[in-house]
Amino acid sequence: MIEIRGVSKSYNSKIKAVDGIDLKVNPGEIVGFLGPNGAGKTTTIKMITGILDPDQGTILVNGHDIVRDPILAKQSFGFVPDDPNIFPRLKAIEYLRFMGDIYQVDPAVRSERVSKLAARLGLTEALGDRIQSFSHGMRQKLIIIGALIHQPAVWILDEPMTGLDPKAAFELKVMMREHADAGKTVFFSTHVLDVAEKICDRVAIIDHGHIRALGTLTELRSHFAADATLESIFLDLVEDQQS
Amino acid sequence: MKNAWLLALTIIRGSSFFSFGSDAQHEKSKWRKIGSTFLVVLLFGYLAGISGASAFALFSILSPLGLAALIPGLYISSGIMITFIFGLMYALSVFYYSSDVDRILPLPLKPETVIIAKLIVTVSYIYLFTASFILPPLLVYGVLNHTGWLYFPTLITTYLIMPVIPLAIAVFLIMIVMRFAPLTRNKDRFKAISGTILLILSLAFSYTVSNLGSLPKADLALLFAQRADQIATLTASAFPGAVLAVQIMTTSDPLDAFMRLLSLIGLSTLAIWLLLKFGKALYFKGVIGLSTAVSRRKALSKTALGQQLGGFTAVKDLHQATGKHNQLAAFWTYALKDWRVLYRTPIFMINNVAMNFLWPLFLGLPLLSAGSSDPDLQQLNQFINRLVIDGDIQAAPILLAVVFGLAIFVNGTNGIASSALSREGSQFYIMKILPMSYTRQIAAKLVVGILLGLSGLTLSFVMIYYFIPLPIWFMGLCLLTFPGALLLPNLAGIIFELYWPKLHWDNEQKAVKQNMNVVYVILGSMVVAGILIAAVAILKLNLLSTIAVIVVVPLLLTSGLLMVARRLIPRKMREIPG
Ligand SMILES: Nc1ncnc2c1ncn2[C@@H]1O[C@H](COP(=O)(O)OP(=O)(O)OP(=O)(O)O)[C@@H](O)[C@H]1O
Ligand SMILES: [Mg+2]
Repeated sequence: MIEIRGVSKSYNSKIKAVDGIDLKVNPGEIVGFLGPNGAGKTTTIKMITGILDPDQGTILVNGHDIVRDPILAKQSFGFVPDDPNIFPRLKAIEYLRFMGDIYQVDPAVRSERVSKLAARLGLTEALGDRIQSFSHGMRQKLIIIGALIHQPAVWILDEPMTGLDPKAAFELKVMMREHADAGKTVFFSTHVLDVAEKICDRVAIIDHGHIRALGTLTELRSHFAADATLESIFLDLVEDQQS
Repeated sequence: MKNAWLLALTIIRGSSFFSFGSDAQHEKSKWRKIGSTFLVVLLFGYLAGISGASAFALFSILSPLGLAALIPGLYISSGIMITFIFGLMYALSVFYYSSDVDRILPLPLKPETVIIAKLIVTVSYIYLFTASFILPPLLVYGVLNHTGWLYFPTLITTYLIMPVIPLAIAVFLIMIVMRFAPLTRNKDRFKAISGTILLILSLAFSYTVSNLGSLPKADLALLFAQRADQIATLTASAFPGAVLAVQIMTTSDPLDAFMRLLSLIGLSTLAIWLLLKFGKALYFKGVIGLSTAVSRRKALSKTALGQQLGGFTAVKDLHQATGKHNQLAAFWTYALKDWRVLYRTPIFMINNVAMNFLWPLFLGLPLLSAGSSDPDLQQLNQFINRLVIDGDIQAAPILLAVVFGLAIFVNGTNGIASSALSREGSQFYIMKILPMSYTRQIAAKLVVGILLGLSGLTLSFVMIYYFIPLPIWFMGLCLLTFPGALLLPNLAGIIFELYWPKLHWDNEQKAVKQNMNVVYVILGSMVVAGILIAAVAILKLNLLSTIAVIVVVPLLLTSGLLMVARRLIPRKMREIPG
């Protein structure tokens, strides 16, 4: 579960990158985070994960306050950042062991988890190599495996599909669904509206730091045309703001 | 040609060769910017001052013997040698290993244009370098020798043209090596090896130079004449035009100088033309396909996978026993990660790891070479002899102070703690998402720095013990000075990093070599060492008070810094934007 209450953040004390947003992602739910470039998606995600401190408001991850109780909160999520560059000089396997040790995963279960995830995403062959030699998509896959090695209750992913091949993107979607169906939480940002439309239980649309819309697709449609696609709703909302 | 200038300017601007500042500086404080620029200028002026002063001293020795005319020849030939050696290094990094290569290759530019642009970049670095080494002595000579005003424009022209030929040769050699030698395919390894060799060379160079300064005057003049002759012969035979450059500076006939200058310009132009003609076939082929890492793409066997993922086996049993091991394993894994990054990244390997072992060697060698004529060293040797042979306890205090000084200096220069956050660069955010307290993560980083420093100290300790049979009790006292010498610079380094981390870099070099925090800690350790040694020497402290000053004071300082760090870490780490 993720609870965001009245959270604001500005980088330069002039423009607010995120402006008083409220958002709750419930257990058993996949919530997609949509919005134009520079809307505040990454900023929000950075605050949820403790990379940035919010100027105002509180954020609870799995019931733990990320500012006041950071270690417990951090232990309970797996995070995939938008930029998949990590420790280029480590071998993939060394990175995974690092994550296993830091997240205190029982050594006995690690190899099974890793080989399963690697097989699903298609990274088995490369685990013994240096991350330096990985392509963008391969790094993305490795980070996903590393983020899930401790089987976190909450998944937080910033544009996870960019750079993944179709098979891996499909697997990731299936995995997200499985995770939510097991009563856990998935929160991810994306620009691919088709993906959002297909797998999200609810979507949040953010623009200029404000949440413009939040709800299931059916709920959103009730404010628009009944046959509206997510795309037309998105364009409508965002255009409204810009004019 | 216009394109080449543009490209060169862009490269120089982008390289931020002079930006020593931390991230914060780009945004706020002008004062810090001015401060660090001032420090760089000071350093530059200091170097120039030293080399100028050395010429002054040389002149006063050689002039009565009628040998003063040797000076310009010596400096010009040394300049050519230095240009060549550093040219090799700069050519490697500017032409091949710089991060702009990937961005320049797709541009619709002719190879010649790229080569010219990179030559301009390289030669400007060389000018800067030689400006502090070659120019001041030759200016000093010109003034002292009353050579007439024509000397100065001649000097400037020669200074500008002189590096062209040795540099062209260096670049050409590098191009051949990079094109045909298989070793160079692995960028990281080649960088680490060549970097270490160059570091050793430059340390050896400064060592011999400093040794020269300690000879008696008559010998010095003789030796100097010999050396000048050797270097001149060497450069003359290796670099076409070297003779011309020397003659331009030594001849008294202006017309003769002018003619020779013209020939030198002609030769230099020819060198560049040849470099372009052959370089364009070599350069692109060599630079394309430089790889950073080998990849096998072979699946790990099931057992291998299990083993390599398997936590710290040594503490695994503890896990069952206490359940507390997990935190310990996390801590050591974290330290291990930092250590791996440190020794696998060539720049870090050279600056942060190799330093620990090279310094003791270079500081220790002159001590061990018994016949050294340096007055300071002789005095030190006397102290050692008094302690070892006469068993004179009065000699111990000053020796103890020197040991402490060296130890803290070596630990200050390794720069591991003072670049601990900066080295993370764009991956700093990872520190923020891991479920491990900031204090613990930083402690793990400190442990790496301290263990490496300790290994360096242990090496020197064993070496000293092997060569000089110091009494056991004295060695024991030396051991007591280590905690302070190890902890003080490391803690100070981390505190500087918390205030001014330098996370925005595109090239690892900037995290350690252009990081003011590293400079502050080096200067700081020198100052602390200097003050404590001076206190012991000037106040003629007895052994007991020396122990108090050398062992207890650093430990007190350390515990102060420890308290400061404990308070700062959680707050500062949260404030640094990831
Ligand atoms: N480090 C930073 N310093 C200053 N401003 C920033 C910084 N990072 C983001 N911003 C600003 O904050 C706002 C929100 O940026 P953010 O990265 O959250 O957008 P985003 O929704 O993730 O966009 P995208 O879809 O392009 O990833 C933008 O106006 C951006 O210019
Ligand atoms: Mg973003």
